[in-house]
Amino acid sequence: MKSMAVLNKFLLASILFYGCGKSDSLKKEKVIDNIKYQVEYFDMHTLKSNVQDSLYKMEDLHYYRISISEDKKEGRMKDLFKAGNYNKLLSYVNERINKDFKQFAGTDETFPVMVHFEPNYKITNTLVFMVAFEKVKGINDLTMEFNDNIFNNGTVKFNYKLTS
Amino acid sequence: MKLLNSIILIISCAAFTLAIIVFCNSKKMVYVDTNLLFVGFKMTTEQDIEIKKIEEKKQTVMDSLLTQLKNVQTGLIKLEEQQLTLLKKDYMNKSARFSEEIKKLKQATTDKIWKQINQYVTEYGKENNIDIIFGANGQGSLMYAKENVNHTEVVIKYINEKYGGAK
Repeated sequence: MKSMAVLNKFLLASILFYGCGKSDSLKKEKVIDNIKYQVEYFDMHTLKSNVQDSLYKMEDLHYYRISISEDKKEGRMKDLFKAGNYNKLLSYVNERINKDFKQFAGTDETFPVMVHFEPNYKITNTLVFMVAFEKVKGINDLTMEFNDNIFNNGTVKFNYKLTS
Repeated sequence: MKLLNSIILIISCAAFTLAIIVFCNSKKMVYVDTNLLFVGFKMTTEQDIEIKKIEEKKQTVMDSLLTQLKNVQTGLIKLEEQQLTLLKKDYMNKSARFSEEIKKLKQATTDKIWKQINQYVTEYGKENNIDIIFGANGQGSLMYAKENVNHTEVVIKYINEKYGGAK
């Protein structure tokens, strides 16, 4: 029941995130072996002000939007979308990817409460994940870590120093 | 006329040589000690810890099998000859498999680490307008360079900041 509630909030947050402006976000990017990782941290502050009060609980989560892309059109991303490989990717995303995301807040190391893979139906050359972690109150130095087992590039980290 | 041609030729050669000297001197070349870079990279330390954890887990399994074998040999556990042979075979197979798995894991991890080091060193070169960064590994690829072009320490700091996601 509790997980359903979190799921609902998460999906609502995803919809709102994609639908609304992203003004309170912090964007960082890295390129490893031609694979570009873009990670956007955002909170629900601005969204909350525009929607009803029932969404206030979403403030208890840290959200990251991870987008993985490749500049080369005929590169490894293209191979990933081939039938057999794509099915492997989907099963990895469904079963194990949640263990490859971590958030470090102070001395706390946490795994995500939710990972959402945005289906792109092979239309774009990009993989997009929406990941949420429980918020650690009072900590403004966050590091989101992704151990890339899709392109085998190892651990990529993104550090955010929040202002408030 | 001949004299004029000769003078022009000499001046042209001198100008060309000067241009080459200026071009070479304007190139910013530095070097890094690749061994120190690898050892000083935070990802290497983190991955070492992870590999050790995996090794320890595998070692526990091996130790347990070895204890069983020792107990059989000391007579604490009685097994038929056929079962003992199977136990020994199991130990040998697992030992070989674990070694192979660890070897592969170490190789894959080293590849991942170098991918990231190469990327961050490239970015360091671009950001600092460096034309060439040599990698010295103590095996003769770079025989001599002045200490002031040794950027190892600065690059280690840079790649660690990059890896940590702060930059």
